[in-house]
Amino acid sequence: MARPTIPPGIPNSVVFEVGPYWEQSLISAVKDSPQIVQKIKDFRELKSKNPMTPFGSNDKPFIGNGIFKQYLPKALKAHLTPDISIIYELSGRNPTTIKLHGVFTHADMGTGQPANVKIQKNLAKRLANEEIELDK
Amino acid sequence: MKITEVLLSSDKALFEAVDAENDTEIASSDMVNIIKAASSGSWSKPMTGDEFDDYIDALVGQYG
Repeated sequence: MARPTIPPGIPNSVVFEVGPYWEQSLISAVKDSPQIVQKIKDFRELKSKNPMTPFGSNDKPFIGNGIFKQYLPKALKAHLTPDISIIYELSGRNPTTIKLHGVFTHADMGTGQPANVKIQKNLAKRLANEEIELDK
Repeated sequence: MKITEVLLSSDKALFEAVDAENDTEIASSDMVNIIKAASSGSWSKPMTGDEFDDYIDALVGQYG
Protein backbone atom coordinates (compact mmCIF):
# COMPACT_ATOMS: atom_id res chain seq x y z
CA MET A 1 0.00 0.00 0.00
CA ALA A 2 1.38 3.35 -0.98
CA ARG A 3 2.39 5.72 1.74
CA PRO A 4 0.29 8.88 1.91
CA THR A 5 2.27 11.76 0.58
CA ILE A 6 2.46 15.21 2.07
CA PRO A 7 1.62 17.89 -0.46
CA PRO A 8 4.56 20.06 -1.50
CA GLY A 9 4.93 23.20 0.55
CA ILE A 10 3.56 21.68 3.74
CA PRO A 11 6.48 21.23 6.10
CA ASN A 12 6.94 18.13 8.20
CA SER A 13 6.37 19.04 11.83
CA VAL A 14 8.80 17.77 14.44
CA VAL A 15 8.14 17.23 18.13
CA PHE A 16 10.47 16.26 20.95
CA GLU A 17 9.97 13.89 23.85
CA VAL A 18 12.37 13.20 26.68
CA GLY A 19 12.83 9.92 28.52
CA PRO A 20 13.15 9.29 32.25
CA TYR A 21 16.97 9.43 32.18
CA TRP A 22 17.20 12.63 30.14
CA GLU A 23 17.15 15.20 32.94
CA GLN A 24 19.70 13.45 35.13
CA SER A 25 22.10 12.98 32.24
CA LEU A 26 21.67 16.54 31.00
CA ILE A 27 22.26 18.15 34.38
CA SER A 28 25.34 16.03 34.87
CA ALA A 29 26.73 17.01 31.47
CA VAL A 30 25.91 20.71 31.94
CA LYS A 31 27.81 20.84 35.23
CA ASP A 32 30.99 19.87 33.40
CA SER A 33 30.25 21.60 30.11
CA PRO A 34 27.78 24.52 30.30
CA GLN A 35 28.19 25.18 26.57
CA ILE A 36 26.34 21.96 25.90
CA VAL A 37 23.01 23.78 26.33
CA GLN A 38 23.62 25.77 23.17
CA LYS A 39 24.70 22.63 21.34
CA ILE A 40 21.44 20.94 22.30
CA LYS A 41 19.52 23.93 20.96
CA ASP A 42 21.56 23.77 17.75
CA PHE A 43 20.68 20.08 17.50
CA ARG A 44 17.01 20.90 18.12
CA GLU A 45 17.00 23.61 15.48
CA LEU A 46 18.65 21.43 12.83
CA LYS A 47 16.35 18.49 13.50
CA SER A 48 13.29 20.73 13.52
CA LYS A 49 14.11 21.84 9.99
CA ASN A 50 14.86 18.34 8.74
CA PRO A 51 15.09 15.45 11.18
CA MET A 52 16.97 13.36 8.63
CA THR A 53 19.84 15.82 8.40
CA PRO A 54 22.81 14.47 10.37
CA PHE A 55 24.13 16.63 13.18
CA GLY A 56 27.71 16.36 12.04
CA SER A 57 29.55 13.40 10.60
CA ASN A 58 29.17 11.31 13.75
CA ASP A 59 25.36 11.26 13.78
CA LYS A 60 24.86 7.52 13.28
CA PRO A 61 23.14 4.40 14.63
CA PHE A 62 25.00 2.44 17.26
CA ILE A 63 27.81 0.33 15.90
CA GLY A 64 27.16 -2.51 18.28
CA ASN A 65 24.92 -5.47 17.63
CA GLY A 66 23.35 -7.89 20.04
CA ILE A 67 21.87 -6.28 23.10
CA PHE A 68 21.83 -2.75 21.72
CA LYS A 69 20.05 -3.79 18.57
CA GLN A 70 17.64 -5.79 20.71
CA TYR A 71 16.74 -3.07 23.18
CA LEU A 72 17.57 0.11 21.27
CA PRO A 73 16.92 -0.80 17.65
CA LYS A 74 16.23 2.77 16.55
CA ALA A 75 18.79 4.55 18.68
CA LEU A 76 21.16 7.04 17.11
CA LYS A 77 24.14 8.78 18.63
CA ALA A 78 25.41 12.20 17.60
CA HIS A 79 28.41 14.05 18.91
CA LEU A 80 27.39 17.43 20.33
CA THR A 81 31.07 18.08 20.97
CA PRO A 82 34.06 15.76 20.49
CA ASP A 83 33.56 14.60 24.09
CA ILE A 84 29.79 14.63 24.53
CA SER A 85 27.11 12.68 22.68
CA ILE A 86 23.35 12.78 22.57
CA ILE A 87 21.38 9.56 22.19
CA TYR A 88 18.02 9.78 20.47
CA GLU A 89 15.48 8.05 18.24
CA LEU A 90 13.49 9.20 15.23
CA SER A 91 10.04 7.94 14.32
CA GLY A 92 7.07 8.85 12.19
CA ARG A 93 6.36 11.67 9.83
CA ASN A 94 4.28 14.78 10.31
CA PRO A 95 4.84 14.80 13.07
CA THR A 96 8.25 13.22 13.29
CA THR A 97 8.91 12.40 16.94
CA ILE A 98 12.44 12.72 18.26
CA LYS A 99 12.83 10.83 21.51
CA LEU A 100 15.78 12.00 23.55
CA HIS A 101 17.40 9.44 25.84
CA GLY A 102 20.23 11.47 27.29
CA VAL A 103 23.45 13.42 26.96
CA PHE A 104 26.67 11.69 27.91
CA THR A 105 30.28 12.63 28.23
CA HIS A 106 32.91 10.24 27.02
CA ALA A 107 36.02 12.34 27.48
CA ASP A 108 37.54 9.77 29.80
CA MET A 109 36.18 6.74 28.05
CA GLY A 110 38.99 6.08 25.61
CA THR A 111 37.04 7.47 22.73
CA GLY A 112 39.77 8.71 20.51
CA GLN A 113 39.66 7.69 16.90
CA PRO A 114 39.17 4.78 16.87
CA ALA A 115 37.39 4.18 20.16
CA ASN A 116 39.49 2.24 22.64
CA VAL A 117 37.12 -0.43 23.94
CA LYS A 118 39.69 -1.78 26.36
CA ILE A 119 40.03 1.57 28.13
CA GLN A 120 36.24 1.88 28.25
CA LYS A 121 35.89 -1.53 29.84
CA ASN A 122 38.59 -0.84 32.38
CA LEU A 123 36.99 2.46 33.33
CA ALA A 124 33.56 0.83 33.62
CA LYS A 125 35.02 -1.72 36.02
CA ARG A 126 36.69 1.04 38.04
CA LEU A 127 33.45 3.03 38.17
CA ALA A 128 31.63 -0.04 39.39
CA ASN A 129 33.61 0.19 42.61
CA GLU A 130 33.19 3.90 43.19
CA GLU A 131 30.54 5.42 45.36
CA ILE A 132 27.68 7.48 43.94
CA GLU A 133 27.30 10.84 45.62
CA LEU A 134 23.52 10.95 45.73
CA ASP A 135 23.32 14.22 47.66
CA LYS A 136 25.15 16.35 45.09
CA MET B 1 25.49 3.53 48.01
CA LYS B 2 27.84 1.72 45.66
CA ILE B 3 26.95 1.27 42.02
CA THR B 4 27.76 -2.41 42.40
CA GLU B 5 25.12 -2.75 45.11
CA VAL B 6 22.49 -1.21 42.87
CA LEU B 7 23.45 -3.40 39.95
CA LEU B 8 23.70 -6.56 41.98
CA SER B 9 20.31 -5.99 43.54
CA SER B 10 18.40 -5.62 40.31
CA ASP B 11 20.43 -5.18 37.15
CA LYS B 12 23.52 -7.32 37.41
CA ALA B 13 22.71 -9.51 34.44
CA LEU B 14 21.76 -6.53 32.31
CA PHE B 15 24.92 -4.69 33.22
CA GLU B 16 27.08 -7.68 32.41
CA ALA B 17 25.35 -8.18 29.09
CA VAL B 18 25.81 -4.52 28.20
CA ASP B 19 29.37 -4.41 29.43
CA ALA B 20 30.32 -7.44 27.38
CA GLU B 21 29.22 -5.74 24.16
CA ASN B 22 29.72 -2.10 24.91
CA ASP B 23 31.59 -0.40 22.10
CA THR B 24 29.40 2.69 22.12
CA GLU B 25 31.75 5.21 23.78
CA ILE B 26 29.15 5.55 26.54
CA ALA B 27 29.69 4.08 30.01
CA SER B 28 28.03 0.71 30.51
CA SER B 29 26.18 2.04 33.57
CA ASP B 30 24.67 4.81 31.42
CA MET B 31 23.76 2.31 28.72
CA VAL B 32 21.95 0.21 31.30
CA ASN B 33 19.96 3.27 32.36
CA ILE B 34 19.15 4.09 28.75
CA ILE B 35 17.91 0.57 28.07
CA LYS B 36 15.80 0.57 31.23
CA ALA B 37 14.37 3.98 30.38
CA ALA B 38 13.59 2.92 26.82
CA SER B 39 11.92 -0.24 28.08
CA SER B 40 9.78 1.70 30.53
CA GLY B 41 8.01 3.54 27.74
CA SER B 42 7.57 6.59 29.96
CA TRP B 43 8.20 9.57 27.77
CA SER B 44 7.27 13.18 28.30
CA LYS B 45 4.47 14.77 26.37
CA PRO B 46 5.48 15.92 22.89
CA MET B 47 7.03 19.39 22.76
CA THR B 48 7.43 21.69 19.80
CA GLY B 49 10.86 23.13 19.16
CA ASP B 50 10.08 26.35 21.02
CA GLU B 51 8.55 24.45 23.92
CA PHE B 52 11.61 22.25 24.06
CA ASP B 53 13.95 25.27 24.21
CA ASP B 54 11.86 26.76 27.04
CA TYR B 55 11.93 23.44 28.86
CA ILE B 56 15.72 23.22 28.57
CA ASP B 57 16.15 26.79 29.84
CA ALA B 58 13.86 26.11 32.80
CA LEU B 59 15.57 22.84 33.63
CA VAL B 60 19.09 24.24 33.48
CA GLY B 61 17.95 27.34 35.39
CA GLN B 62 16.77 25.19 38.28
CA TYR B 63 20.27 23.91 38.77
CA GLY B 64 21.99 27.26 38.30
